[in-house]
Amino acid sequence: MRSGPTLAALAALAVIAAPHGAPASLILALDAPTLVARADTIAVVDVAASRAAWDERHERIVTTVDLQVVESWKGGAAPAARVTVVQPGGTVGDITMVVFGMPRFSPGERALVYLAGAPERARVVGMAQGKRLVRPDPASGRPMVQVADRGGASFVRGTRAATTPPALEARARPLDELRAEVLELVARGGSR
Amino acid sequence: MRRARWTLLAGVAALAFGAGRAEAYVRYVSAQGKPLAWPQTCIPLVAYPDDLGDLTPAEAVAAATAAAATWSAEQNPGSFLEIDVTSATGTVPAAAYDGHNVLAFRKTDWCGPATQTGACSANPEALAITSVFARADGTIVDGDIEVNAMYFVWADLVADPQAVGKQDLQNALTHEMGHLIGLDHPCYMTGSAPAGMLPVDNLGNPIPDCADAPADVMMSTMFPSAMPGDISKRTLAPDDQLAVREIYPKAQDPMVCPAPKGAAGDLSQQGCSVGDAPASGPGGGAAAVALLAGAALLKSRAKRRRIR
Repeated sequence: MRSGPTLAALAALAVIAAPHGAPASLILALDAPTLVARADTIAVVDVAASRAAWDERHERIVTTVDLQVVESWKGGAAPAARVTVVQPGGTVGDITMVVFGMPRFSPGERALVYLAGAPERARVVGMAQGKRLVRPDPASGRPMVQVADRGGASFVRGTRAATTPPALEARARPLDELRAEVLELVARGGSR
Repeated sequence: MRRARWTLLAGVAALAFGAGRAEAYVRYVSAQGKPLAWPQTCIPLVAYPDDLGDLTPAEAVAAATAAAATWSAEQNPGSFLEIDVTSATGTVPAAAYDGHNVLAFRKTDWCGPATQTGACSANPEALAITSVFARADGTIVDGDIEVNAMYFVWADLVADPQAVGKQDLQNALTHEMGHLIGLDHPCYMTGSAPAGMLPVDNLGNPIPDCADAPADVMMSTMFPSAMPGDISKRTLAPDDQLAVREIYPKAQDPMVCPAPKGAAGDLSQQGCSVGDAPASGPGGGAAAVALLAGAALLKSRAKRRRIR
């Protein structure tokens, strides 16, 4: 797990890296090396189930998402293993709690996810930018990693903005290409 | 909950992006496809300001008040909406379904990477988070904005344009308040939508890809990206103004102004604030009070406007 001071240092670095002040977007846009470095688990997964419930005080809705690992790129989750994401927001009965910027999961979809935390209670790194749908190319059938759904969030272009574009600005990419890139970053230990 | 209404591609995209684009906007919709909106005239928002380093608590409240005014009726003739910012001191409440709309500046309790997930909405990569509670019919019953003052520095980039590497608070809050009143972004990212589907705007037209959006879409307050040092979102673009006029039209003013919840002694009242939590919100039951108070309140508000 990363420490608070490390995050603060990273945030400070991002702020310093901004050439002319900072944009008024609201989530730090992470580049690929940072996404990889911050994730404890990177995997292609199938969304098995999603369920929302009120917290103990009936003040917030929390959604629990069960993911089944298809292939693992970082971390100890083996194929067919279960990983669980817990995040605020969701619908219970007549009430929906919308948290702008949180990724949305629908059972049956396949996605590439960057997760932090324990596999039984993980969070998505960088909110919406840490989940990208995987769909076959209509023409070739080749699996493609789609761009991230922004989930109603705005993004601050901060980390290494001058040289490395934020991951969420990338276009759809073949899964095998992105796999090779991420595995290389993982092998290097990730960089910040 | 879906982010926007989706429609089949069916070759209509070309029609949408032709020359002479009409002003348009995108609303967040409920799981039942109902667009989100507040059911009342006034949205009370209680700010819990803190010393933000570059901004005093008073300056932070002033930025929030200015952002709120940008979306409110006085600056948008044809709309009835009033976002009323008051300030309070004391323990900063959580973003919660409690009928208490909060603007929280968090200096010490923003979630870190090791924080138990689900325990808070404050993802460490977030600068600010807006949470909205809404019913399936689209009625918004609670809304909260949390600002990350722990890892990011907020400033007034108009007063201090040399504040390199800092966030303009008023700019950010104006955008966030657009979400608070039910607006979504006016563009999408290719590939992020379900296959063969595109999100549509209020006119039923597919919205553009953010990467190729027309200039007038990129200039709107609800556009999801900004250049470093941007302060342009402080001012509504025609698309944003149309949204607030059409979603909250003056001719359909419900004449209800709930009072902000919180420790009464802490609140510095501004604007119209009478009544209690909305009936549709938690802790409701004050609908009758609010409704009865509403007419008198709106009368006095109109009088106040005439005096100005």
